[in-house]
Amino acid sequence: MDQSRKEYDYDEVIKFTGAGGELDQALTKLQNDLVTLRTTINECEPLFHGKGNTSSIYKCYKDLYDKLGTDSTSGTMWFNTKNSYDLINLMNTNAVSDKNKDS
Amino acid sequence: MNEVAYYDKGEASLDKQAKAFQNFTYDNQSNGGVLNKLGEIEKKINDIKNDIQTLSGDYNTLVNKYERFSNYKGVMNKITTTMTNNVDAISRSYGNVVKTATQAINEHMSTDSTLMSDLDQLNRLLANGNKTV
Repeated sequence: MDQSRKEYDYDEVIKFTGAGGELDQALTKLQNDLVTLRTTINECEPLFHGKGNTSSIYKCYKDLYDKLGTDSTSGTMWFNTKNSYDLINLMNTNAVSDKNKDS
Repeated sequence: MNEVAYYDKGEASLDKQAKAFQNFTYDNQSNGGVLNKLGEIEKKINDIKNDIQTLSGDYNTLVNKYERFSNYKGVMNKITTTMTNNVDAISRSYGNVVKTATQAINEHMSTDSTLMSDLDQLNRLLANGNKTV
């Protein structure tokens, strides 16, 4: 057995990191709340806004959207959500691989 | 790599842009009004703060139970720390929206006294926001 790899309960880790597991549930909840936040800001804009794209209100909304960002804009919420998604998948892949090697 | 976790690719890649409008508007009547929406935004920001704590807790559970995954601890901490900083920044931006709304109402109260109650509510939102930022 690979000495850098410790034995552990593969199935428990696969379940914890897999679809519907604790980490997936936490990440899903975060994503759903990020979507709701974005749509609520969308709904707020027509109710309260300034004139043009130089008003202080416009800049406040722009700041909110910039912080939400996309999965390709470094340092934003969605960029880090993507990192989290990749990490969970990687841990699951490793656990499945470990299980297969030892079976 | 296994793709087991849920991922909202459409929302993740969506270009999120503020809208430019022709005139100033403060609408406290339609769709529950601006105060209702600001309250919803505040609640959702707090929900997201809790989501990040839950995610961080789940990561730690995994690392503490399985030494195999301790190598990922640094990456996990970096992700959750950056997310926490982001949501704090979002909270501050939200506070700025409420502040500008408060300023706008202050300016318009001289011609519309019905806005007095909105100002009270905005000040309460601002006070709540200051507690959570």
